[in-house]
Amino acid sequence: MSPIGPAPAVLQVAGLGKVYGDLRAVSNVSFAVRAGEVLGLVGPNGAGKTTTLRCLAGIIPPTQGSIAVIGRDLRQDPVAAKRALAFLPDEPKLFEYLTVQEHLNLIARLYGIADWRQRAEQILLELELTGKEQALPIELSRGMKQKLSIACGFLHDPQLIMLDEPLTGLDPLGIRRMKESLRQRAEAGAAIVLSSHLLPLVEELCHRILVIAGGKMIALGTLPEIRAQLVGAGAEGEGSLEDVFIRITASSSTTETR
Amino acid sequence: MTLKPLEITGFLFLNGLKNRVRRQLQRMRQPKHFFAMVAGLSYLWWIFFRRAQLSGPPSRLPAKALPLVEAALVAFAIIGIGGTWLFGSAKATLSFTEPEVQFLFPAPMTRAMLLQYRLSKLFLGTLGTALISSLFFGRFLTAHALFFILGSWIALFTITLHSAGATLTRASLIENGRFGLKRRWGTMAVALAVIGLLATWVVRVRQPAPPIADWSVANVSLWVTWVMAQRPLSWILWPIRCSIQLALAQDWGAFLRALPGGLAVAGLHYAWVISSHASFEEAAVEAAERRARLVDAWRSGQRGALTRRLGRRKRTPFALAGTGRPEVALLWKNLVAMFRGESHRALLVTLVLGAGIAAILLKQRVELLFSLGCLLMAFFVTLLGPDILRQDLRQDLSHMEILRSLPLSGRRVVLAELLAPGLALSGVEALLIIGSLAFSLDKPIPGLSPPACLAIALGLVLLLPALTFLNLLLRNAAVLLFPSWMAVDPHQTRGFEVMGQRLLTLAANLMLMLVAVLPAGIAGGLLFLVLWGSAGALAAVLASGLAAAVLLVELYFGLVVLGKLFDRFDVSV
Repeated sequence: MSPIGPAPAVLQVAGLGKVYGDLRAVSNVSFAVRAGEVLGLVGPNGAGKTTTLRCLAGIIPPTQGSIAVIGRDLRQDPVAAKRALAFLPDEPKLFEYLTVQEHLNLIARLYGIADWRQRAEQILLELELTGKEQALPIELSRGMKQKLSIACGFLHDPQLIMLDEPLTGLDPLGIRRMKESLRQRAEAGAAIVLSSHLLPLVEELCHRILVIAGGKMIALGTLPEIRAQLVGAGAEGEGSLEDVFIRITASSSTTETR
Repeated sequence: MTLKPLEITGFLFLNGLKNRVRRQLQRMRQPKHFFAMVAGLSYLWWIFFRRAQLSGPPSRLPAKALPLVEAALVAFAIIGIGGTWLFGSAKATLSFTEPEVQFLFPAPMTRAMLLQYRLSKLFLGTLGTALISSLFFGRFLTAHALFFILGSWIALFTITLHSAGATLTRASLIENGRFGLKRRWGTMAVALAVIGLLATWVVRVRQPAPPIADWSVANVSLWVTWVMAQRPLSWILWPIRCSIQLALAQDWGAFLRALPGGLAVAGLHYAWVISSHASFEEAAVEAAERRARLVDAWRSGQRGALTRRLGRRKRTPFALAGTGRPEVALLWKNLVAMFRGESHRALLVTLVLGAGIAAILLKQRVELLFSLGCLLMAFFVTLLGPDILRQDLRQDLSHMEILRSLPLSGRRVVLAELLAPGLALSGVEALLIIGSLAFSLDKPIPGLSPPACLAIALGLVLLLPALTFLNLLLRNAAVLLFPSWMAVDPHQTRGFEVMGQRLLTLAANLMLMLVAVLPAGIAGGLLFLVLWGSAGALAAVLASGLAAAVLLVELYFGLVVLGKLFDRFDVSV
């Protein structure tokens, strides 16, 4: 995706760290995401991606560092910061006793959306959930549950959207629509942080990429910038994100082993 | 190399046990798990094992009563077997877990090997049931509990095999289309014919039952023994009796005499099940998925959602507008959960039973009992109602990730979570107090004038809801302080430790309630003593009001503390 022009930072992260007992899950991660920008978060399993996203969404408290959403510190003013963001986990977490429409109604009240019915209708249409308004989660397929989770996340028109493996369970048409929807939201000014193992998806959608491994930032920048860093490190300056990812994470794990 | 089902069962069982013990020992390094385990084991020892013994004094049951026990067990077995044939599942369901379906079904194993694997697991499972049964009944029924354990193990396994065989046979009949849609009628007709023949034969026996006047244990035992010894009944009952006689053997001689018969019946059943050609795989896969959904529903705190017929919808308690105080959204959500789940039914059943008893009492013109009964019920709801209605953080523990991401402060989330059960229970308490008052005004409680009754009722209407909310607050505090103690799915339960956790939680909850109520009690009591002379019955209302105000202050500070705990709550720990 082509780089975007200067825009205000929607998300600012400085020195983020998270420690569980003796385990340092995330260490000194700093970056910013501007309005309209899509940042890809990639890394091997256990790299700390989900922990980072959970910290950014205010779900778990970070041990170190600061996070600001639309200029509001997530620790000092969590309510204002959370009002501007949406977090879509890889596994949809739904209330088994609420129907599709009731989920949207609940979210509407929590975020204070007066015209939620019109918005819900539009989003359900977009996500092909029209006709399922009265269905309980138990009656939905895995992909439909994922779509409902996405619909709940998009309903309040968040300025910052964080997605953890957003395409899990979606069919090819759903994947195409989801990608289109993310592009449109970015163009409308939303900042997006997308964590995925699907590197072609990241390459296709993201303006910049943050690679983390072992809880540490390994690289941050556009794909050409990261390639240039590798050239500086003695590697070839070509290849897809997959090639770059494998080279970076392999060298990172070698360094850690030493 | 060929896979051996028994080896797989042994591998899974032993490794599962080893890992579970290892995990348990690791957990016990933390004091909260250690003390819970100690409490659970102490309770178990005190209640069961302290009294259990494998050998010792002769059984307490008189020998002449044994034929009656045997007849009762035979009757239970017949009812169980009949139920399996008449009302059993239409599909061949031998339950497998999802991992078993995933790893064993595609493995190079024959169908018979899968069945052997499942049956070997059942064999181990019935040993557990036999051990537990022996703790309850063994020492009362036999002189040597070991006979009971071995005998009931073989008997239970035989019945389990029969149930599996019946299910497979029914499935085979359906597959082969011999009975088609009328299979149930055919099975029922055969079963009814057998029962009819037996009944006719029993009516025609030459020796009728002794008259009711002579119904001593000895006489009835003699008659039952005689009836069961008559042919052809004795032939029909032999396969069942030889297994049960094993469990009831009083000495080695009786046990060894019954053993060949019991083993032969079990062996024949095993051969019957293994030789079945009915396909069970599809139903097993379906059952595994259903079980996985059940676990998911447990995790979401909604067991009722699965038992509810799909497509059946109920109205929401009220229409939720898109704007307004966001806490109301959580109240609305929890009320929906309450009325779509099962928990409110327990409360309704209790109240309906109470109303039934009240109606009987009223018919007997005992208004006083009704009035006192309502009061007692109101106290019961205050103390134990929060255990029945759990639509708060206890239910939402598995949804903490959602709650933590909401644009609401911790204090507001905790308050919103307490509202649904708190308001529902307060409403029930108010109704019970009004009911009590209505009948005490007509026929006052001795020693209390109607104004005094009215004052007490008003006082309780102020006091009990405050106590209920405080009780709920303490139970929700446990969720935020000890989240790992809250079972959110059936697989998370860990035997003795969970039992210990519940005992400790109950004890801590009661102690904290006492401590929390103390300042309110002292303040209210002192005011009552001061005002009693001048204000009369009104003193009770004012004292209760003051006590309720103290409780509300405590509730406020409790909310502040829990709100901070919620804000710091780490869902990943």
